Amino acid sequence: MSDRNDPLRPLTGFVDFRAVYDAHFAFVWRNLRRLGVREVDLPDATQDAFVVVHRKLAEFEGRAKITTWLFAICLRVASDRRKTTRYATREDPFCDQSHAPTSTSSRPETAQLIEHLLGALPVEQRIVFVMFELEGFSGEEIADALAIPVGTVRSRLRLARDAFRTSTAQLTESLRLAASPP
Amino acid sequence: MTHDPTRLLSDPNESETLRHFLRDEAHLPIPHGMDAAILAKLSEAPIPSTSTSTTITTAPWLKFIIVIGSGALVAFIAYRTTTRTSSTLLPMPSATQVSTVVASAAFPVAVPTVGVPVIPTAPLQRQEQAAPIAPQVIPTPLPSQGTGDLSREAALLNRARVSLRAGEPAVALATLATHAKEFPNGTLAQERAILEIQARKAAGQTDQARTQSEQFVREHPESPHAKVLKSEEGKAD
Repeated sequence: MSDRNDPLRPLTGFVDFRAVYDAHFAFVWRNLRRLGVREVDLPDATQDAFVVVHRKLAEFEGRAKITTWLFAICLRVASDRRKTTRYATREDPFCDQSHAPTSTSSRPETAQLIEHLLGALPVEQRIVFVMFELEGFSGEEIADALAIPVGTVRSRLRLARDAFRTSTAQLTESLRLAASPP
Repeated sequence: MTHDPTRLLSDPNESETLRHFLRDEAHLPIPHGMDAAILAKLSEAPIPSTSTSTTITTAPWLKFIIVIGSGALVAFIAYRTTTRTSSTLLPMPSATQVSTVVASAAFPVAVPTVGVPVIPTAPLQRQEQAAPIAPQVIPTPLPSQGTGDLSREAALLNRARVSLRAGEPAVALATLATHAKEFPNGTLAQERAILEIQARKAAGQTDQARTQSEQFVREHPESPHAKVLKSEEGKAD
């Protein structure tokens, strides 16, 4: 993915918040979802992410792609959300879990299946998988963003792919069995 | 990079089911109007000015305890300075030091400004004159431009919104004019335009409202607000 044609590429060192919001709202939303933020928490998490964007935008130097920078913000926000959710779930026996990924809801079935598949991956592998397979970042970009060696990126990607293939096969099989007549 | 493996989506050797899942994932819908709704929430919520990330949601009771506790601590220090004047006393921390300790508490608390007791620090800088301090309440000012433009933009638009809801469109228009003067190309310029259209309608300036509405739709055809305006125009016709 090249951002050379990105109109928001900071040629002058100034990037307008509104322009970033309009151009990358969907990017932030979908990656927060991919990183495990619950559907019910997505609006608040997205808001949190853009609060950080607004505060830090002046510091964005344009050495990395803006999407890499935004993804790093998503990572932090999603990580915080996961901790909060874990805490709330553990501490509050009456915590509303009706929106947990495994529950039935009005969300499209495909979304739940994909959430299930991604959710089966360990967080570190999930991040690399999302960045490479779904957002099209290169191995080196991922390595820079996560401050890990490229070799580690490839290793995590390989493991994530294996796990994703296995989960997909299992899911397909269980769906086939469920659909077949008794 | 040339050394990266082929992406699963582009790899014909991968199972069709797997690629189907990945393709579908990329097209999962975002709830309609969510971007506008979150932008509106951003414009309503003051942007915290702390430099730490917004990671911990501090409970209101905790904020209350911290504010009250810091007030009690400062009052205690002031009391001691007035009752113990002997030079053999241990050196007391200055008000600045105390404020720093309180402000750098482990929790990144954005202390609310609305109706919160404010601990005056000036008397403590002259410790010999310090007296027990009664917290005072100051009115909430609009954030200045230096505290973050979006924060001030949001405050101005909120003020206009409140005036409009209170049936005072003229006040709302005046506030919006202030916003336009301070932030002609502000982050929330589109929201200002929408509020102005609503205020003009409420003030009976329907022709001007319609002209502005049409202009907005022309200039921002992709904006979620434009869709709303178009549907409203359709209903009006």
